[in-house]
Amino acid sequence: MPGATAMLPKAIAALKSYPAVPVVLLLLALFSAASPYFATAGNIEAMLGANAVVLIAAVGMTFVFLIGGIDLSISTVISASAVLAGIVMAQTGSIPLGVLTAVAVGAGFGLLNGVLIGYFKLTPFITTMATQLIARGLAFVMSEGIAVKGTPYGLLDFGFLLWFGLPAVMVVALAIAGGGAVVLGHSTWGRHVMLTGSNPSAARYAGLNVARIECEVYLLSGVLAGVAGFVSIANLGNAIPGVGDTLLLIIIGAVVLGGTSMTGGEGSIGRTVLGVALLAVLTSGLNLMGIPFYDQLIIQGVLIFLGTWVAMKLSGRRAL
Amino acid sequence: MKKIFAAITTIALATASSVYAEGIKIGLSVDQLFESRVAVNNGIKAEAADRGYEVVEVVADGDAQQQNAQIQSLIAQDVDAILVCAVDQNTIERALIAAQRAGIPVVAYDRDLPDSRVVQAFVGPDSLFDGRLAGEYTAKALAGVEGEITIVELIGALNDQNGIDRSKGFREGIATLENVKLIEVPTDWDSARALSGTQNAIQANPDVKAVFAATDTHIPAVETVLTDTGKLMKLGEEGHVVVTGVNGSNDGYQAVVGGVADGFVVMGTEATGRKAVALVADILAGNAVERINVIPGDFYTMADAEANKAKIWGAK
Repeated sequence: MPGATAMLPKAIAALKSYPAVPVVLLLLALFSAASPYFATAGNIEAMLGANAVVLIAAVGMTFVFLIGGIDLSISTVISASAVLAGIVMAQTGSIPLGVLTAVAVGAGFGLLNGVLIGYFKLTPFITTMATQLIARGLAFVMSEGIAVKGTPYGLLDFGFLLWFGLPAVMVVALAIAGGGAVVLGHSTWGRHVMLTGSNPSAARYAGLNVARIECEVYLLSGVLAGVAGFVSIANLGNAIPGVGDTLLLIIIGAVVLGGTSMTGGEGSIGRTVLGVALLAVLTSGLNLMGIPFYDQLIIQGVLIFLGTWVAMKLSGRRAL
Repeated sequence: MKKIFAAITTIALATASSVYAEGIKIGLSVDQLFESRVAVNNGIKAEAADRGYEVVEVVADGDAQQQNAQIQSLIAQDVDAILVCAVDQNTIERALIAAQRAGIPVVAYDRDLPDSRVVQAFVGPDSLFDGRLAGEYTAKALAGVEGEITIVELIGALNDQNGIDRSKGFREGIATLENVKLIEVPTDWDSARALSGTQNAIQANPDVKAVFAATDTHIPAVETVLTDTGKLMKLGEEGHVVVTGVNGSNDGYQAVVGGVADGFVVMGTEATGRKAVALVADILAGNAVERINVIPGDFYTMADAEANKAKIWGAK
């Protein structure tokens, strides 16, 4: 069969581009068999809604990875954005002001990271670790460690809204992912990001302003963390100062599992969406099976190792 | 005979299936498994077993987002009611609203959620009463002291109503004392913070007369500090520092029978758990229930702790 023979290389190529696909499919089958509640509409809806925050932040982290950087502050910027937005909304009752506050806080931290890393050439790991501490401190000082009450009912209702049969928060997240994919794959700036990540020297020789591109990428990551922080309020009912505490590894894990390289220049938003889906399915399934939280962390960690190893084998890369 | 056996088997299976299908399933959403929570949970499971209810337990290990996700999974599993001890006040409101929208009643236990619009009932320790018991004992013990009375108070957590109420109750209890200097030590229920905070407080205020621990699991830290500063005098000895706590753990029990602590308030953990299930049964039966249901603790001293060991949930 000539057709079948020709299809094989395409299938293999697809697997190399999206290594998370087989794992997601396997997990879907596994949990559907293990729990009669897994594939129900209610559970799927809850699973999608709960992971909107992770997806939004993971899109930003993907851009950072693509330039060979890392943003450890993304999780606590989510917290700080949520808390300050929560305080503003509790005091003014205005949801638009809440959105602006969250985005502004995220942009502020993103710009701080961007300037320090892009222009002052500080190490991304150390810089964003410091920013992470500042953001966490800000979240806890402003909230006094207590969830911020007074979330407008409109935002709570938004958390339950369905658009096109999907949770509205996930529609927002998918729109952001779609926008990110378009920018990355079909814009001049996106091509510059990829080139900067794969070969910074070549990018400079080509006349690109590498410092500016790096700064802009961290700014984008910060803005998306701000949006994620705001969405977390709709997801949880109130602004929680510790909301980001366990998100960092999930965000990084999703991007890595999806197949984006931490060394820069290789990856896509589509892969990240699949990485988020993988961890979302895993968490939901394990919850339904009654696995305690800390045990789940072990399983997630092991899966990240295995997933990364499989991705490496499929892509032929030798180094992480 | 084969046909008869087959028929009997079929009927038996159908009956069993029917009985199971009619059974009530309770979702138990736990914040963290530490000793007193386990004791209450055991009360819940015992009462549920007595009533023939099934319990689906999920543990969030202190993570608010995970607790939200777990409550969503309980909703997906079609539980008839949810018993919840929240990680924190105000952190799981959306998940609870989702339960309400699914027609699932919610009862909070051990930690109240006063701001929630969903929680139909709460059952937990009477923390105001418990704190007051310790305060009143302290006031009585220090009634004859002249001059300024320095008291160190180890506060639980400001985001936990139990911690807030124990502190409030203790202060009400010592209200009869005059000229009190109260030194606050915030602990967030953390033993390391209790130790360092107590060290700082007693070094800065060496004339301390009493220490109140919001949880008796911090009494070992108090004992360490008193020992290090040469202030550890057993009950009845000259210069004894009055030490009290609330909980009912083995730490508290050992401290009391050993004379390090004057007494401790023991929470009614099993009673709390059983009441939680009883509230669920009432709600499912359509009965009216009280919004707040509190179980007062009992104060035990060296004189009666050992004799009541069986009633002290953590005593070993």
